[in-house]
Amino acid sequence: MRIACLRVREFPTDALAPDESPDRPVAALRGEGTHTRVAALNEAARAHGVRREMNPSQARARCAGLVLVRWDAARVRAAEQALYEALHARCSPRVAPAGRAGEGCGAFWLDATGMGARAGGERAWAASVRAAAVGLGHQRTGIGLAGSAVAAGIAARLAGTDVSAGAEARTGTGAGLVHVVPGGDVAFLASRPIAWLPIGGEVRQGIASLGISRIGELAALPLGGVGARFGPAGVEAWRLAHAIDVRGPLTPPPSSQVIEEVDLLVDAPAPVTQIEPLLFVLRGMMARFEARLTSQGLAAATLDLVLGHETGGEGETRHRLRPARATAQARALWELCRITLEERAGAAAGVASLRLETVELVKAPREQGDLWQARWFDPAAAEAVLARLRARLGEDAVVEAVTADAHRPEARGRFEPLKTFAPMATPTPGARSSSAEKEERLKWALRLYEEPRTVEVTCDEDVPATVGGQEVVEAWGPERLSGEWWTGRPFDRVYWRVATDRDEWLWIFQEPAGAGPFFLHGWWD
Amino acid sequence: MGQALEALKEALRARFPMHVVEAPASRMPGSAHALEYAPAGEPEAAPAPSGGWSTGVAALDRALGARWCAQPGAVAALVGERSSGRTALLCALCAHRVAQGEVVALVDATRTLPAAVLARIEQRRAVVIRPARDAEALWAADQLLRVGAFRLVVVVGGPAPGEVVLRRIAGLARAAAAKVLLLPEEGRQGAAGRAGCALVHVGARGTLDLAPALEFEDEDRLPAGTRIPDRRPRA
Repeated sequence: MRIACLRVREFPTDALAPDESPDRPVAALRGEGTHTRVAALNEAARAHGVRREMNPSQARARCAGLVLVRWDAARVRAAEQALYEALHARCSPRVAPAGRAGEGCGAFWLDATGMGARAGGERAWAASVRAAAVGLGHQRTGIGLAGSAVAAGIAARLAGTDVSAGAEARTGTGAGLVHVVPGGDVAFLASRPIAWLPIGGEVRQGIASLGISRIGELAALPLGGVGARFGPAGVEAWRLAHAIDVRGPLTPPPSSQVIEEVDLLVDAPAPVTQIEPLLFVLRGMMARFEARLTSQGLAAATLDLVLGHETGGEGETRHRLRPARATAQARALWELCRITLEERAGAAAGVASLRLETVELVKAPREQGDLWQARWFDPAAAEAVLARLRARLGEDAVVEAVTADAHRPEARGRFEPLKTFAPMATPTPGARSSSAEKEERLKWALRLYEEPRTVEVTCDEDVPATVGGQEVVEAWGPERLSGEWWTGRPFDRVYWRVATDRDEWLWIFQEPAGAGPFFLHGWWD
Repeated sequence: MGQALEALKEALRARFPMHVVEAPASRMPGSAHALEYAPAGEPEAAPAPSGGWSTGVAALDRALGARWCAQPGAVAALVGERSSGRTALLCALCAHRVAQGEVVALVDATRTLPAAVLARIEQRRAVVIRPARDAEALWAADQLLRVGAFRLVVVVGGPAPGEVVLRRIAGLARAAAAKVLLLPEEGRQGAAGRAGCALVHVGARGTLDLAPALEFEDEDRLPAGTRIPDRRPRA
């Protein structure tokens, strides 16, 4: 798959002051009264020393000719929508914003697979994409073209920098384009700073504290070590360093978005008081919504149905709709609306408008079923059975194992409610060693009781001699572990690893150390 | 021709306790499609089918038998005492199957499976179910098998499975082409060994002794036979 990332530098100031020359310093202000701050600015303003979070007086002090405009989310969103529609109409059938809608990040993913064949090469196609953005007034547009979203994003960032510096792009393809050859993503990423990876600040700081500054250095680390130290976030960073990224033009925008709003008073003389007319209108809304979702390869996981009541009434009523599994089917969503409205007596009283908002959209399963492939299954069915298990056994019964950096032995691995279950996802390459290597390294697994159990232990010169009636054959220890005094729940334990005459390998501890009772914490198996 | 051959192989597998493999054409001139067999009970004699199902641990493959491994859906119980190495086997097996691209579900009725070890498995393809009550473990396994997504379902602990329950699970496993492993607690093996459920006794007194192969994670930090110095302050 080939992915392009289009990034417009200074998109908010472009959108809010379209008539100003790029050489004129412009800053957009957010907030009211004394809380007004610079939220966005262009390169010319930055050159004068204006920075984000300055108040208007500070900004003007740095640059007397600074043009100040008010932040207008509607205008920014409209400019984003115009760019989105231009890209969708002229450049690629799959386009998705790469950030939160209305926040003015000015970045889009485009599906570039096969586009080069139509336009005379990938670079020519990328030039046409850039031309579409420039045509809308976004002069400082950079395009990155790569095989993964993370590489494309970083390439676009480089391309945008080259544009602003007035220099030719590094690949020699012209200003505003960085083209990563197929298969070259990992090599392209290797020399880039780790700060450019889209990962959380905590993980980034942790990785930096190890002296790792380049993405290639992170990629060279063993996955097991990264996972043990940083947990799932570290594994995700490692995957990104290997150019494995689930984001892309099919990734839905995460923010809430109004899908459609219908004013019922246009066709009806008075506010609706019964459910049936609402369901009639909803049927059409859902059909249009289905067409839209299908065209973008998405499915709805959570929706909000907002009923606007007549003026002077209680305002709006919001109903959250959660299908059992994400779907794009109008019929299923309409049924959910019907059940929701019927369950709430009086929900339809005095309704003057209907609005449908997306809360969570997910990528629709696009795996083609293979009649002859026994391994294929419906991922949605797997999600459904997990939902059933959650409903009966509780939310904390369906879990995934995660590692944690903790002092307390039992806290170094824990189970958390399952968040990411991607049965059809590509396995992480190199995540597991070969079976032969694994067999050589068959390790004891330490099984721990959730709550350590008290156990009768007799000692001979401070060394355990019997544990729970079993004679101790060998004992290793004592190993003293203490800590967490800073949490208010300190522990101070003396651990022993003992082998008994029944061939059991037990892990016992005494708490408080040297004086308290003994506990059986777990056993090796 | 190919379909008829597959049907014949299936029929032979179902009717006779044999390992049915395709003979190389060179060994039987004039016949590109011939069958030969090896009697069950001698797994070493049977050549491992290329790309066949494996646990990733050769000793366990041998203990389960080539026939069990070759079946699309099958049930086995690993029984053994505490510290016999069953959990180490289980973790290695799950990691291997996930690395093969399968989706794995573990039902942990004992709530003692090691999170730190399981976390090393590709998490997006492994799900752990931890029912609060012992009795719900087999119900959870039943549900997981019905969906057909999980190619390996492991039940750790839980009630002793009766013959009827085992037959139902074996039927579901066949329908889903999934392997089911039961790790019952000591003395709760129920009807394992009958009702279509293979039985492997792990441990020094059983058929599969892993003790020589097992080692501690921190072997280098804590070599056997040495004592950690006691640095406790003396009263």
